[in-house]
Amino acid sequence: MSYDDDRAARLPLAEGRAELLEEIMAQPQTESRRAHARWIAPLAAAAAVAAVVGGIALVSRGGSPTRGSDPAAGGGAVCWDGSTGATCPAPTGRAALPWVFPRLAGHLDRCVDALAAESDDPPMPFGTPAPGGPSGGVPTADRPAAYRCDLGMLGLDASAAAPRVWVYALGSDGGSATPGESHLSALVQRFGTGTFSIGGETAGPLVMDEVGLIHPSHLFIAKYADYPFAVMGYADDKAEAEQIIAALGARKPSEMTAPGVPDPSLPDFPSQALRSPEPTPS
Amino acid sequence: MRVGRDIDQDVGRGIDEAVDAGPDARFRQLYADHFDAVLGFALRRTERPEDAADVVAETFLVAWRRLGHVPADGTRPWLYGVARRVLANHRRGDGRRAALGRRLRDQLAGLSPDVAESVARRTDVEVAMSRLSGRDEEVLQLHLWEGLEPREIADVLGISAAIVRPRLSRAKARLRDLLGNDPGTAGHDYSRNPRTIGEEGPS
Repeated sequence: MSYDDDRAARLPLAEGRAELLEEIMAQPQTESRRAHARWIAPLAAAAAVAAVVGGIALVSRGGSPTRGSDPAAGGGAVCWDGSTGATCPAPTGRAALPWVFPRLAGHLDRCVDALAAESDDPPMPFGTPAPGGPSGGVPTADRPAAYRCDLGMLGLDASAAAPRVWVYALGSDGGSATPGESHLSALVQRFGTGTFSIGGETAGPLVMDEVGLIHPSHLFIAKYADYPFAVMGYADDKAEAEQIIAALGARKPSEMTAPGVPDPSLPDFPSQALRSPEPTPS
Repeated sequence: MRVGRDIDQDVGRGIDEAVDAGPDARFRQLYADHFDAVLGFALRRTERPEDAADVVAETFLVAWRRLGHVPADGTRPWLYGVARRVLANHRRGDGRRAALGRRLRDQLAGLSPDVAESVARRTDVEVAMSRLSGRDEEVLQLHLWEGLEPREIADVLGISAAIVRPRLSRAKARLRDLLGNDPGTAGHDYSRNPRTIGEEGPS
């Protein structure tokens, strides 16, 4: 466009400009009282960047995945990794995403390595890239596995007003905690102002931060206390955040290691996770 | 050329004085100092002027609500960073139409014929820039249109200057290849201190 600032300054907008100023100053000054606003703002920026990755339209499914079922009753109950033991190994890594969040089944291709494609656009909780490292940022050996699934355009009924949701699988696929997971865990533990629940079961700490940019008014981060998975999105309050988490079909902590019976309505669950190739860093 | 940091130093003095008078005075000063720049930033990135009004309204609303977080040194890059996120929300369709600034929106909407003319006069440089990757285009826009140095661009984008510098150089090189000459043009008035492609400012 040919607008330069001087030209913008000459536009006949005096009335609108003055009126806007008064309108803004008539608004309550809801300055965040929490110190974590300093890191949550760049996190919101990172989230905005994540949105560029593209939306994902999860097909509305009539049924809900069966999970935590009695293996005997189900006959053929399996774990997220394809094993069939009485107790499943703790889910970890990208392959377990559909296990933890069954609504992701069939859409793992939209879960990208959050640090691979653009090293300078990491989710901020995982740390700031160091210059000079591979890919211009974090040294490979120190990069946490952080698969970020952009669930924009999710179409979740429960979150119609909060269309942007990101799901994170933290930690390496080998199951060990990484600096990324440890870092996020520390942040959530430090700044979490409460806990979130799934099906009435407390699952982990919850961070709610006023964003001010969009509606709903808060950016939330909910991380399982005992498992390397997290959900980030926008919600007005804790109840709405929990609705969003529930709409993802998030597994209760007590069901994380319980074998489940694949739901016929989710033909690729959970074996889809086994077939899905690992994302290729670009 | 009066780039963002220079301008911030100037207006920073005004803000320093305003701080003593309380948040209202500080915000009024901030609004007066940066309104035109934020409006220009938005106008250069929106197809419809009335959308720019929404971006301006939301950006300054955020500044008002988070006045304590607005850096006195680096106010403009901070505001650009907020405006950038507001724009991103709008482009994704997530942004709500600002309830504020209705008159400003109406006034800007009345400028449509003028805007149409300006769109028709899109320069070869802008066309070439649009052929760059989104990231290269954005960093180049911040440099050429807003007159920001790499460190300020880094502030806007929330990344390190060490990443901005090579990206900016790469973007310039690609633009040079596309144009076969220097780009010129900027959102700021570069006639006062023109910057040519290939020139790196201090960072």
